[in-house]
Amino acid sequence: MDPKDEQPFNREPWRRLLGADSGAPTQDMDRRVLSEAQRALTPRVGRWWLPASLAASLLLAVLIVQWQLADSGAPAHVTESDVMSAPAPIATDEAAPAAAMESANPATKLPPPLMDSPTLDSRRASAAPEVAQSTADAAATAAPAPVQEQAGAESAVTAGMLKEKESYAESRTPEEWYADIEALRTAGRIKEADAELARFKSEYPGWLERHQQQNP
Amino acid sequence: MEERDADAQLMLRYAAGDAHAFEELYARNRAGLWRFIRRLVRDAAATDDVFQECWSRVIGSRERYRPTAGFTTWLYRIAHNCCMDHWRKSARRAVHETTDDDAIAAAADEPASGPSAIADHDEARGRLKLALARLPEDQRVAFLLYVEGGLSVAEIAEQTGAGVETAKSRLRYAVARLKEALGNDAPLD
Repeated sequence: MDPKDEQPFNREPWRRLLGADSGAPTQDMDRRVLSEAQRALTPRVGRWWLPASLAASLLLAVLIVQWQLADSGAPAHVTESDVMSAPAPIATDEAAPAAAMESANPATKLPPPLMDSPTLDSRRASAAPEVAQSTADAAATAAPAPVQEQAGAESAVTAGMLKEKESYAESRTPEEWYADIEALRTAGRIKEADAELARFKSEYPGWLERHQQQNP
Repeated sequence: MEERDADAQLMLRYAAGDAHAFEELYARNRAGLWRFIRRLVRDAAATDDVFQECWSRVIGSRERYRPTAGFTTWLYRIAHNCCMDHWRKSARRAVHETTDDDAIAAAADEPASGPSAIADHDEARGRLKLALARLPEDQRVAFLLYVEGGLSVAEIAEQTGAGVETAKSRLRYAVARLKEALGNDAPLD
């Protein structure tokens, strides 16, 4: 635009002439406008802090619950190996294994699938050395179960399930136990499988050889 | 232009949450804006209402403000829109030209003015107010937007919905009438 168009005449002298005594807003008006401007900024802070504080509270509550569960040894930090570590039946009768071999039906006595979640997997990975140690320490008591790598809620690993697993480990037949060992091996948990096999052999000496002869 | 930039910066700072920036911005513009509104609506109570409404819109629009035009231009556009809303509401914008009696009454109603003020040493200012009040509304709006609002001719044209030549013509007529009323007291270009 032509600069001349922007300044058809000098506005300053006119402004001075008009403005000197033409009044101004009252102080009350000034206060009203300024307080409105101040108020307008306040909700923004509230809008930001309210959801943030709610989210922080929720997160804190979840962390506290998890921490308490972990502290009390509840399922939140129980690994699959821990779940499977349960006392094995003590063979008092030499004939029991053979009898059990004949009567057992592994298909009907499989334990309920262990609900594994990704969270549980990651915990298992981080706790691997500890798990190995606990498995070795378990000596003649630990017994593995078939690994069901299914996604599921972590809450499914409950105290009730633990009891179920223990009772299963105590009551399973040699065939079931051996099948569990094979399942561990298939799942790549070789150390656990070897430990279990050693326990198995001490519990049922000669059973494995007979089994292999019968099922070459 | 630097003044305009300073106002725009203050407005941006206020939009970012700086309340002190608004205080400064308000202090710089309050008197001019109030006079502008006062001379357009010519009613003391209405002036307060329109003035507050104008700043409320400024506050409410802070996050949408972009310094593409000068802050003053933006502010006086809002003020002019508020005045037009006031006219619509009060249905008093039926005539574009006020009668001499109306204009004199309105000018006399202004603070620190009126017949006694005219008779004082401030006679020139009093005559200017009367002459301004007698101007046709389009010319008065154009003159006030130019002088008080600092808008350019093109901005006045855009704001009032007129062509640039029309806006320029209105300004020219307004100044001619005001100079005629002021005689030797008229400012020199």
